[in-house]
Amino acid sequence: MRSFLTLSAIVTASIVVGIALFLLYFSLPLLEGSGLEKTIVGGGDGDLSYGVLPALVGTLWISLLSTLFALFISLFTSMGLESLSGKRYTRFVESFYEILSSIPTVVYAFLGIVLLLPHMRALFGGSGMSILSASIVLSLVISPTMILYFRESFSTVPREYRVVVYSLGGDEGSYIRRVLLPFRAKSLKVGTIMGFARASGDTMVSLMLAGNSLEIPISPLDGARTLTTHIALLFAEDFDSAEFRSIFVAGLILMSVTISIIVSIRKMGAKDVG
Amino acid sequence: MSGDRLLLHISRVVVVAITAIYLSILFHIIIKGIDAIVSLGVSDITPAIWGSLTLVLLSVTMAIPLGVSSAIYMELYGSPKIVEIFDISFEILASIPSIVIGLFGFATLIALHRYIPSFRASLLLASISLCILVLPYIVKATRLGFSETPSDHKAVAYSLGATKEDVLFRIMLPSARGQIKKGIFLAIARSAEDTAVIMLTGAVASYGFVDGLLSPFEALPFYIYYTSAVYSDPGELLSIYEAALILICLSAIFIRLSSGISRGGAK
Amino acid sequence: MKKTFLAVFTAIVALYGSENADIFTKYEGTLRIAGGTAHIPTMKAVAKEIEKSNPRIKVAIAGGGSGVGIKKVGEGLVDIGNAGRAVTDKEKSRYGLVPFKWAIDAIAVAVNPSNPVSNLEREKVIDIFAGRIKNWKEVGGKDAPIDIYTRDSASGTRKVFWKKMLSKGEITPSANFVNSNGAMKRAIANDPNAIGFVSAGFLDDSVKGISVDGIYPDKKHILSGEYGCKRGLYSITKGQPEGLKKAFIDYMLSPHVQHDIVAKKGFIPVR
Repeated sequence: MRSFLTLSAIVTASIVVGIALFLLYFSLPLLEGSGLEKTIVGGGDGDLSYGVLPALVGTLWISLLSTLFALFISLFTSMGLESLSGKRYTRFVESFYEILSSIPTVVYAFLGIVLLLPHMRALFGGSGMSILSASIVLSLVISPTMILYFRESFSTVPREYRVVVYSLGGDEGSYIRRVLLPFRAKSLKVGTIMGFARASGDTMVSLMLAGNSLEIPISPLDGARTLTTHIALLFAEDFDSAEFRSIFVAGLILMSVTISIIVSIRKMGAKDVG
Repeated sequence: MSGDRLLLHISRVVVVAITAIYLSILFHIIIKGIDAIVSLGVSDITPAIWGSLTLVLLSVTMAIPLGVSSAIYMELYGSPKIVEIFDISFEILASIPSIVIGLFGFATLIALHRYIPSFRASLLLASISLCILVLPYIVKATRLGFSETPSDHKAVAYSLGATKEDVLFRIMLPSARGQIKKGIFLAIARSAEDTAVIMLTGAVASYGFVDGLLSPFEALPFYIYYTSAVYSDPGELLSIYEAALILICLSAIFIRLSSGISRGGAK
Repeated sequence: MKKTFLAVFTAIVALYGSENADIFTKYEGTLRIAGGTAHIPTMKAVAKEIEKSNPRIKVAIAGGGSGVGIKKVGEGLVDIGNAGRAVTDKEKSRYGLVPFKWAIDAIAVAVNPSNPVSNLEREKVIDIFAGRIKNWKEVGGKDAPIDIYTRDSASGTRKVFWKKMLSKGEITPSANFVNSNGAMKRAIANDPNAIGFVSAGFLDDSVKGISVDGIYPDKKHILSGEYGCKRGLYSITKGQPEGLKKAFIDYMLSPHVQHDIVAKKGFIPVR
């Protein structure tokens, strides 16, 4: 009995290590052959290069932009719900956001194609696919979870604090601004980091909405690829080519980012990041 | 005080606006999805539905024993240091982008195919990869369930001479059952909706009904992704809506059933 | 004389034309096919006939591009690899591949149907894809920026286009990527200012193929060689095909498939 359990535990816990090792193993030929710098920036062989730098920049653009949008959306929605709390419909609204958080990202991406892209094309011309399009949809993807997280943490503030604010002549706005937010600043930070982690790990929204061009993007209206879409686009490549190897480098970078985020959240003391 | 009022008003406007946006998105997909089901029937996507169901069944069935056992080990037999390490591992596993998990599955395929030629991108590989994806949910749920078991029950049992195994099967597991179920539902929802992992490990655009562990398969999320890029007539476009609607219903039901777990809700 | 010939010809066609998928009745199992995306509609139609005549056979069709098809069949991951370009000697000798050509196809420069441009000089095409010409008005179109769409690196369509139409000229890195002929069609159909390249067999109302140097990629010009950007559609096996694979290849080359499916799908049959 005990040995079976030990075995299970060891197997499952070592998966993470296994993943890291695989990524390293498959990346090595590229890192050795071209060196670290070339691997990132890319050597190129005429029409297609293998550097992961454009993807890295793309990931930063889309993750940061979508987290920014999502923070705005989630924060103000949570505050708005807080100011309306106690009314009957807020319970209903929170269930609604739970349903929204369960919608698959590929469905959001598809809706982005049929509902958002035509407007983006009309407004900005071009294919409509860009960092901006992907970020808008991605922010809608991660907001429901952030809203639920913020709401949960808001709900743990004792009722008395509200009463105190009212008795001092303030209203819900005062309560939110001067009491709630400062008190729950830590969970706001954690929620935002969580949102960022989800945004940087997303594949489908960027794959279907960001245009996947090879250039290093310099404006939100440019097309871009991300570290995640880089993997999705090149995984079927020739096994021995540099392009193929570069997807493992992208995977390594993603994994490092994930690990750093987890470690920093744990340091901030919030264990249950769900 | 005006700053407070301003904040209040902006917040209220945003809530209404955002909820309206989400509502219209949801309505759009529900209406189009129903239109699709009524006018097209589901025959186009039946293989994908079947593929998805099989996939979910396999991956979650594998994840349950592995996840629960690991949680049991951590709870009863592991030293604090070990538990800490495992904890971090599962935390990382839960946060790794799904495409990286897919990449791992794919890398395994390349490595193993050299030695076992019949091992291919298939239901088996995809299920194993998805199992890895959802494992952390099961582990977390079981741990949560154990942590909610009243400690005096355990104390009494031990003092009456019960062994660890007795306490496990008669007290801890029964008490954790609710949370474990919730974790399973979460795992089901997650494995049904994932696209990145199956894209790299065996999902294909056209195959029909999956027939065996080593066969290729169709799946709903992949159908949505693939068809939205290459649809050539309004009928195909419409069929994407029905796949999406079915997927949403599936996910919504199971997420609803599992609610409470991701927020670490204490009873 | 002509009437007799016509009668005999019709009789022969009728005889061979009645050949159907019955040659598959003695087989069973899964046939895995992957590779070129231009092949997919044809593959689907053929697979349907095969599965209908013998339900014990299942055909799995995946895309990925010519490079993927060659690689996968070479590594034994699929039974038949499809490619829209010739197999290189290096690939052939490395894997022992045997290609079978079952159609002739061309690669058309395609634009959105609303685009007034119907012809471009080849030099202009090269300049557009390189990013040197950036606005449609420079080539007689509307005043709008040109949106370029290109394919992933596994694509045989891209490789042939790059070699034969662009003379190996560069494709600007700001181009949008799509990963199949179907996706290319969809992208061009959605974007009024788009330009891309796609299998000529895929041209229909939703995308507009344009002439290059006055030559349109239709059957006549492709066969005569006037339209130079052409390629064959191949199905490749590792080693000589046997059993179900051989039946499939034979069926692809049968008059029935050649005339009723390949030609219908917009390609030029080899028989």
